[in-house]
Parts: sequence; C-alpha cells; structure tokens
Amino acid sequence: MNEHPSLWLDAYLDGELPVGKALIVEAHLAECADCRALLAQRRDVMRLLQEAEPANGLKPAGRFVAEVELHLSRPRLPERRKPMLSLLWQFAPLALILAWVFVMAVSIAGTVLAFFPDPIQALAGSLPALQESSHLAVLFDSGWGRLALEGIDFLGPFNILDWSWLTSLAARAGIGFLYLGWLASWLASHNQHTIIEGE
Amino acid sequence: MNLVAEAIETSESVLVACASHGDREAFSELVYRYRTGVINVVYRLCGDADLAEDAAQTAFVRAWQHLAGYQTRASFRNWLYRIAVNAALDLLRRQKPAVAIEDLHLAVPGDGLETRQEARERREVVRQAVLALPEASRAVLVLREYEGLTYQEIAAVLDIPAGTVMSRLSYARQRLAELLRPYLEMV
Repeated sequence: MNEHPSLWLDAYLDGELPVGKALIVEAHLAECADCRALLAQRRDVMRLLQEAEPANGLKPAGRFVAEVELHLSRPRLPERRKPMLSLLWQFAPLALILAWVFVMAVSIAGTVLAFFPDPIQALAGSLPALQESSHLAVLFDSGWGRLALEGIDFLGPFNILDWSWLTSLAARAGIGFLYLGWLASWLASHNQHTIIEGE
Repeated sequence: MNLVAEAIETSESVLVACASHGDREAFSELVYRYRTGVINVVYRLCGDADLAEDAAQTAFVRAWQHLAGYQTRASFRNWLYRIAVNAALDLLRRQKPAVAIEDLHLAVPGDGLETRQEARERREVVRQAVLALPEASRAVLVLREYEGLTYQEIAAVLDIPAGTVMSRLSYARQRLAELLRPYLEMV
C-alpha cells in the first residue's frame, strides 16, 4: 500500500477497523515511519485528553435529582387509537356546517311557503310540469306523501318547518357556537403539539 | 405495591418501562444513574460546569416528556446522550461563540520538573483546545474519548453515518495534535 491510510489510523487505534483493513494498516505501519510517528502522536493526544478533569463543584446528586423532579409534569403516554372518535372529531366541523346550511335552507323555504295558504298544493301547482307528468305530483297527492308531510306536526317544537325566525336564529347561533368551540379546541391542541415538537 | 422497590435491583429496561407509565420515582432513579455521564457530556461540549448542570437538567426533563417516543431497541443511555448533546448545542447557540482557534493562546510549558500548577495549566489548555474545535467534531470526540462510545453508537446518538464519525474524529485529533504540539513533546 503506497498511500498513507491516515483516515484509517484513528479507527485502527480505536479497534473499530474491520479485520481486513486492520491488517492492511498493520502492514503499512511496518514499512512507514511517518505513519508510525502519526500513530504515536495520536496516542499522546488521547493521553492528554484523558488528563482533562470532569466537571467540578457539582450539586449533590440528591439536590440535582430533586430539581429535575420539580420540573416533571405527567409524561405523554403512548396514544391509544380511537378510530371512531377520531373520525367523528374530524367530521364534526363538516357536519356542523351542513347542519347550519340545512337550517338556513329550511328557514328560507319556510318563509317563502308561509305566503301560501296550502304550501303543498302551492308547491305542486307552481310546477306545472311536475303536476302533469312527474311522479312527484302523484306523491304529493298520495295518501303516503301527505301522511309523511303532515306527520311532521307530531314533532311539536322539533318540527323545523314550524320554527319561528327567532328559533331558527337560535338554532343557527347554537351551531355556530359549537363550531367555534371545536375550532378553539383544535387550535389549542395544534399549538400544544407545535410547542412540544419545537423543544 | 411500590414499583421502585422492585425495580431498583432490576435492569434499566424495567425502570424505563415504569417511568414511561408515569412512575416518577423510577425516572428519578434513572436520573440518579445517568446524572454524571450526562453532565460531563454537556460540560465537555460547553466548558462551563454550572451551565452544564442546567442543560443536563433540561435534557432530563425533555427525556421525561418524550419517553413515549423512546424505542426500547435503542440503548437508553445513548438516547439520553442524544438529548443531552442537543441541549448542549442549543446552549452553545444561545451563548457567545466558542473559542476561536486563532484566539487560542497556549502557554508554552516550562522546562524541568512539572509542578502541580503546571499540570493544572496543562489540563486547562487541553480543555480550551477541545472547546476550540468545531461543534460537530467536538461532539464526536467527547462521546468517544470521555464516554467510550463505539463509532456505531456515536453515529446513532448524532444521527450521522459511521464514516462521518471516523472522519470527524480523525479531524478533531489531528487539530488537537497541532494545537497541543508543545505539550505533546513533553508527554
């Protein structure tokens, strides 16, 4: 080997070189006085380094441990998977938005239909095409369709078609409040993760 | 049942398992065991014993907070050292720049018999020379020379390839040989 294995010398000295490479280095050292001198110098450096004292004047172990304990909060346990809850949590804002849109739509439709004495007939009558040929007209006139629509009356205060503008407003405000609550908890959770990852 | 009373005589892994389930006493026992090693790693990297203790405490608190992320396949000591090295590097970045090699004024050793004072001065010079190394090389050197980690362990602690460990260590020793030449002739 003609080239000096300078980079390998430290690994050789530390016993970290594979056997094959160690044999190559040994063969080279037998012939190269410069590398033998370099190796001796490395040994001296290591000897000097070992003379350096460890940290002095440290706190007693008990005090050190007690100070660490003061800063210990509860550790984060491994997260257990809760797929259903997690899924519901992810879809909560979408569901709330849809509910809000639904209440809005029903509120607007209810306001419009309030102008007509018989909303079902008015709806069917306003759509001649439906009245003539569509199955919807048949549905409106059929006993089952009428029963389904009139059955809403049994819902009492939960009958969304009978809500006043104030009830509708309160419902929308409630949904908005729930959405803001979800948003606030999501932001709090997101910030906590960011702080921990940034440590 | 006192978990610590049972675990105190058993292996490190039991203590780690207890600590990761919120047992503070188990974690305190781990702090007690590794306190000296962690403090010294930070001390060799930053050169100040008081700051090293603070950074070591920070490292232990971080370890506690992230115990859930510790993988039992890795050595707990090496995982702790990784956190300690990062704490030390954070500390160094907040502090003033490390000693520049150009600014390092090494006292020329006197002739004749070495006195206790000269030995102390020599140790201080060695400490300064280590602190004058670039952080990356210094971390490798400290873990090898003072903690006796293998190249593979150093690679795992610092998250670098083993080949990089070899080259950084070679550079660090070569640089120290140049800086400490007058002292090497005395050894």
